[in-house]
Amino acid sequence: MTAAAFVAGAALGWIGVGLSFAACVAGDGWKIGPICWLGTLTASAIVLVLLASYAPRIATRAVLPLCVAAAVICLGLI
Amino acid sequence: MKDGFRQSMAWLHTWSGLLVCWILFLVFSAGTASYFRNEITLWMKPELHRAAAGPVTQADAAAHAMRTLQERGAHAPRWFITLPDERSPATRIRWTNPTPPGEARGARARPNSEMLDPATGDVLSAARETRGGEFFYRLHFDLHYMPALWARWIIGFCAMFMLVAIISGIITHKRIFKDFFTFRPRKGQRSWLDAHNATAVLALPYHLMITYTGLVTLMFMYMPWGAQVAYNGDRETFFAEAFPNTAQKSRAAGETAPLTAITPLLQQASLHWQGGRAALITVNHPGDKNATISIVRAGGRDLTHARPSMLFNGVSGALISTAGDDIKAASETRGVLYGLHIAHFAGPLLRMLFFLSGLAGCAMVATGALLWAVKERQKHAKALAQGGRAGFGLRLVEGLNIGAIAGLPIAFATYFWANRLLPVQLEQRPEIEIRCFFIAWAVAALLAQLRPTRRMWQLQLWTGAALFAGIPLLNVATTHSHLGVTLLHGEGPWAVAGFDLIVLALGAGLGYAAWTLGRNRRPARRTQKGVAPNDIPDQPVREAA
Repeated sequence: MTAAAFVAGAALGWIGVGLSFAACVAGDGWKIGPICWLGTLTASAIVLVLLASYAPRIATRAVLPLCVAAAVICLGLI
Repeated sequence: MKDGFRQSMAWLHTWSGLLVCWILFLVFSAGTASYFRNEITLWMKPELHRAAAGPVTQADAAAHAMRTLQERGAHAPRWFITLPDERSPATRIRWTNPTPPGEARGARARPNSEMLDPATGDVLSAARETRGGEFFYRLHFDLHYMPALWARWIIGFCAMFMLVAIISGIITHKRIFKDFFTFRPRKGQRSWLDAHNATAVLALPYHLMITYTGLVTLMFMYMPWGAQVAYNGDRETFFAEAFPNTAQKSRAAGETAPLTAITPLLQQASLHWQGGRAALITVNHPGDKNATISIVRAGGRDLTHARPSMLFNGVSGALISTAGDDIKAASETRGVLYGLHIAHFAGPLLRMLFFLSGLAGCAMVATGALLWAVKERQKHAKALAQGGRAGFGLRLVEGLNIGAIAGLPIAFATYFWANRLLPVQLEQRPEIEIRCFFIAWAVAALLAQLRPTRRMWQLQLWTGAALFAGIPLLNVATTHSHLGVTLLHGEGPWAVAGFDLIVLALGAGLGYAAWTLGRNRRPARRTQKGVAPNDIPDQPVREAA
């Protein structure tokens, strides 16, 4: 992976994290939203770790569709 | 300091964690189960499942409950009505019988309590007696078989150690960002460290929050001095300001007067709270001229634990006072911290996320405890390979690990089995269910101390798996609201179906752990017997709850 691709990927990732925060706040309000956001991040990180360790093939293949689906859900909520 | 800062923190982390990890595992497991304490209680009273299916408006439920109380508790000095909600579908009424003349005043008031069908107000008399999820909730800070006050000091001590372990753990973890998503399975000690790191770091906001707010819930007990100084020891004023409510001491006039209708009061309260719902209705001196009715709001979409309340005249229905609408900053801070701990504000999805983070907490404590044993064994690997015996400390820790991590799930499952299998009319049924929990746990812990071996791990994990996975089957045999009805026919309360599915998943998780343990065993057999450092299961007992 080139440095440029790495930077681009990281930037997209951080935008995604920001987007999910916006979606949670839009969905649940400022009080509950941030808590829901942290919980969702924890749950998805655990799923990611398990997938990457036990089914790395599925993990790499599922990344793109999942990202698109998540972005659509986030934008829909906002 | 001889060692570096990080080394000393690592030492602190190891010992503060190890010393209290088994109690912490109990607290985490029971606390995690408490997120669903209403659902567990409902599941443990199958007689209520039918009533749970149909929705009823609160006003109707309240009016029915008032009518029933007029009949059953006409002379009681006080009535309590807990209104139904999505999580506990039956109305609960409580009243105390007046002290008969001749008995000393202040003798123990005898409380009565009934569950009502919210749609009709009929008493659901057949519901079996059980502590239900309330037992786990109490267990996680009051323990059992000891005075609650001691237990709370013990739990507070352990929670403080937990906080120390979390903070020293963060400092010790050098590659916290680099290893964020790292988990390398099937690598022995390395995998245990990874699993410990992953479960700790990924749910770190939760772990920090739950430990700190756990201490906050009992802070007036652990650190009363601030309040004592600020209020000059005037506890009553302090508590009145810290926990605002409309409770007031009033005396009965002795003249009878009919009670006002409850429905308009509920409407007025709902308007005042901008649509907030009522949760608890208290009627003081019903049927007397001085009757009052207080309504406490349900926890809504607010984080805080504090609930505002309103007080009405019980005869005219006029509003007397409101409390808790405008809370001071310090009280609000504590209310929010308390509220975060018990998560009453959480809807089904968020509740599930809290539950998942709680399981991660269980796994963090479990993997930490196992990691210590694995490392210790590694140190003595040579001596052990030559047929030497494990030292006393190692044997003790390994026995405690099995007894806690594999034994506790057995105890939890036994509690649920006892609920279904004990005769419904048994005397002291709730206490016997609890005794089953502790007997099962004591047997598991004792066997673990006698033979802390890999076979014992397998045996107990399989037992836990079979018991947990068997619960839905047991339900088919003993109730009419099993998965076939709740899930396939779409009838019956969702909470019951959810319970069955979660225990099934927990059973599968335990079974997977036991299976992995057996699979790894075969190649290791050639080298040595017993627990070898490199062939402990890769998958931590993640699902142990």
